[in-house]
Amino acid sequence: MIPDIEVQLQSVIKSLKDNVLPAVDAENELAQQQIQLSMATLGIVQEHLPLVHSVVRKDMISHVELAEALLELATESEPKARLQQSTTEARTALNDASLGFVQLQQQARELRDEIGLFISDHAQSSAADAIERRVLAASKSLLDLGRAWNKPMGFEPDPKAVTELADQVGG
Amino acid sequence: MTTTSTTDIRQNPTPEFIEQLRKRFPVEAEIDAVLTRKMQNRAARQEAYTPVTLEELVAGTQKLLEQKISGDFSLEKPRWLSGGASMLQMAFELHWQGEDGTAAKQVTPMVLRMCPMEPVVETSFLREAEIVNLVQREGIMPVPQCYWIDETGEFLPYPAIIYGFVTGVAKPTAIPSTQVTGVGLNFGPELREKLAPQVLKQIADLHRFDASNANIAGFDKIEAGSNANVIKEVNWWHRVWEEDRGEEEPLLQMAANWLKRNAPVVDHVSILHNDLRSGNFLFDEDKAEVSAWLDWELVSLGDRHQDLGWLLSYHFGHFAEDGETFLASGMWSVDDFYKQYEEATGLPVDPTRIKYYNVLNNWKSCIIVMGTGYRVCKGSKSHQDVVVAWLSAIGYLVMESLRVSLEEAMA
Repeated sequence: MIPDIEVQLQSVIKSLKDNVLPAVDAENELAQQQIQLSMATLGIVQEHLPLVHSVVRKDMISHVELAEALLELATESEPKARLQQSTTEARTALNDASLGFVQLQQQARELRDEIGLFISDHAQSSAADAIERRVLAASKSLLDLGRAWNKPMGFEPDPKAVTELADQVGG
Repeated sequence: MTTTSTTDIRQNPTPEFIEQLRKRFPVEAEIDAVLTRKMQNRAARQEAYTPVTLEELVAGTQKLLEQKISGDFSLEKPRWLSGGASMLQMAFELHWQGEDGTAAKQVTPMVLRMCPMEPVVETSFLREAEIVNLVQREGIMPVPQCYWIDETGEFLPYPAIIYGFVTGVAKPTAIPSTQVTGVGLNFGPELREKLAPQVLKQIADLHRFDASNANIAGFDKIEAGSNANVIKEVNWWHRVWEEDRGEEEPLLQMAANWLKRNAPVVDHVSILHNDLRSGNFLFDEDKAEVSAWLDWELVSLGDRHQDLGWLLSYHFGHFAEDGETFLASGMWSVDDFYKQYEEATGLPVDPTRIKYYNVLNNWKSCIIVMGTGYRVCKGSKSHQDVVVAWLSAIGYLVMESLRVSLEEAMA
């Protein structure tokens, strides 16, 4: 049987809320804060679970597009070759339906690493300014996804200004 | 494709990796020592943090004090102090007769602050103690008495510092009836009028002090007329990012490049608190007097604009009762602050440098919450992992502030 993770999480949260939380020492500030945050975190994980694969894919696609834009500006051959290879591998991974989100996330992290190295390796090059402006221009949409993912934590001063996660990934 | 757990060089740093980062990012000698120790400890301690008991803290403090105090002493009434996502804190009373044991019998309330296995901000207690003592000796601003440090965790489980206990509150106990929407502390009009001039004078005194001539242990000497220390500061945090991050963020790499290329020359070497804002000083509510400035763990020497950008940032302010005037740190309009600050220090405020340091401050904040915050939780290295993980969710919002500040600075 494939366990229903959402139901498992729901059961844990209910247990914590109904039975564990009332038993936590009201005078123990650390324990009180941590049980509340633990329950809230589990609730958010439960909420995110159905979207996690789509979010990782969207994030990866955005970084592939950024990498391809940066490759057009490359002046250093070795960083260019490395990023080119990483971008190709990322595209291949995105087209592989057998990959789960953990594998995609790992591939995305390798691509991010190469983008970072590419930027760093061009720091003293004639293309530095153009590369940095390209990264800056691409950042808004990349950050919007991260902000939507973290919106339930309540730090956004104007939550309505951040497009919902499901709307961003078309879920 | 590889798996993360076995190949994460940052979680399992090799001597070669540590050395490579040291060479790539030259920093001040004391910062190099602290960061190198952090990585060596991480490599050596693969286990997770386990809770430290009050009894262990008392025993470690006892051992530390035996090295520092000649006469008889006793440590009484130990108890946990809450607050802060970074340090463990224990309050206690020290019954003693001074360090050499010849003074009159006395009881001194004290606070021990100890790092967890890995804190969210890895800093130098030596630097903190040296500056706090200098600030107190010079009468620059009120600070708690700093007594002793266990710099490397020789006596306690982890590095620690002992301060005198200071009374006061960080925010009004009663929320003013004029409370308006805002994220920053609201002191209310009456308290604000009394606190704001004191706070501004103390900040001005801190920044006016010429730290280029002070020979302070733990700090490289800095000369005005150079940007070398700014580059070292950028290297410090860039190195932290490379030591701790879970995944790369292109915006943070591009910001690092820009910060290094555009580092401004320092015209006057100031002591920088680096978390200068409302909430980080205590005050006596009845007298409306500042009693102590706290949280010196990030202290450095450099350009005053680094502190000013942080102090006046949107995050720590709110709108006044008129609904229109933005009060930086809940106390001054930005224009009023600049005018009074320039008068009090005799030092100009340069808008271009404010923009530069807004970028630097936002970038550092991203590194702390998204880099080190991630690494602490990944290794299960603190007593507050669930809190640190929760707080790291603010990272993308701070990155948005970084993006906006970069756009302003690069325009």
